[in-house]
Amino acid sequence: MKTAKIYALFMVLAITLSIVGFAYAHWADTIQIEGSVKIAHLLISIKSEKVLTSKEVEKYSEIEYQVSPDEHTLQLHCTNVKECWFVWIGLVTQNQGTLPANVKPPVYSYEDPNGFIEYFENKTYIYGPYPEETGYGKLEVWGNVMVDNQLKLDGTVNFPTEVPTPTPFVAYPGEKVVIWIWIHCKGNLPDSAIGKDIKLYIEIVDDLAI
Amino acid sequence: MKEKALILFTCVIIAMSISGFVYAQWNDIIVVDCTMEFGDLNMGFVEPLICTEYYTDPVTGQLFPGEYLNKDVGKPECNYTDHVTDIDTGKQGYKTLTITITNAYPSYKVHCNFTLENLGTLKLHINETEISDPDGVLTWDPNLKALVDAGGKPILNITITPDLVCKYLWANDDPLTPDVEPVKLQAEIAVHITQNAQECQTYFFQVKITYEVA
Repeated sequence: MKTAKIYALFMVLAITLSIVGFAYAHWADTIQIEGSVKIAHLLISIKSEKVLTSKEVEKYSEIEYQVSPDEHTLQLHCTNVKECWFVWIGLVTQNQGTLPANVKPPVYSYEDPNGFIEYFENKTYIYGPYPEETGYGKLEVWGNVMVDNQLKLDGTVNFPTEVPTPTPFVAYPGEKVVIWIWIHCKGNLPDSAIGKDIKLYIEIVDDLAI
Repeated sequence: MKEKALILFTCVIIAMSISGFVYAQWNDIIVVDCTMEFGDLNMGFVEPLICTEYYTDPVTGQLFPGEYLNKDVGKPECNYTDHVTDIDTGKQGYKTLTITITNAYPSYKVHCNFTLENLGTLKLHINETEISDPDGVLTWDPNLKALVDAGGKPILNITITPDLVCKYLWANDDPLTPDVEPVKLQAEIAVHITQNAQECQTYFFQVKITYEVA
């Protein structure tokens, strides 16, 4: 009898609680704010490259080059480097990201086991920005450019109308930029360095222009 | 003998019919019609809804609308969905506010000004706002007021002003005291992308606003 009473009391409580909970659930509600944030990305890539030097240099020095898989770095392997050796490196870069980028001179680094990096000098000329649809052949500073014509042996340039763009400047998504780099081996190279190989790395700088 | 029996039978019948009639005359039924009309709890988003970009001036530190140097990079969009019409009041609103930010970058800020309205017939009370990432990638840190990554670094700073919790919305505004019994509440949710946000990532957030009968 006692057990039956306790059981009945328990059942009454359970039913009461469930009714109260059901009622409360019907007298409370929720609305929501749903949001998504897609983050942009910054990416400047090397889309075309040229490595030019004089016929005289080509006689004694081999220059091999390749662009890294991420299209961010140009690597050059130059053999038998000696005094007055020089190379003109041309790059067409493109802003392939979704953000405007600040165009700055590339960063140079050398793999220099012989320690004669201090005998190198360089000059950088940057042109642009050019619209995405601009073909390379239409760029005065890119198509048909030759050493000792537009690109002088002393590291100066002589394009008929184009002048370098002061850096930094902004390249919007899709826009292209042309970079010309003159790297030159100065005189008075120590005997221990003459005829050695050198590796050069030219890395494009990603910089957000916001 | 037979006559006596017939008379007796007839008397009994008459007596019974009279007593039945009298009983019927002294009994009746009344009906109580009871109608219980319950109140209606309903809150929703209503116009106006305005989404604005902001930037912090690097020199003064002040907040200005738009993007720095008038650039056009980030794209904010906000709209209401889940339209509802209250069956009792006929008021219309929406159950969901959707904010979509594309091409965002560190330091990019979006402020979304929305309006809440009591659409039902009962006074209501907002008792909780819960901010989370429905994908579970980010977790809410109430101290930083930000959704943080697994390493605890803030990714999205989210603030809602004024604080919605403990706000009351009345079903009807008394024209004599409009400020005391607001039916609507204007608020702003600000989303700020931090320097820790990763390129090309898409982050999600959800704010649940829970309300109950006051």
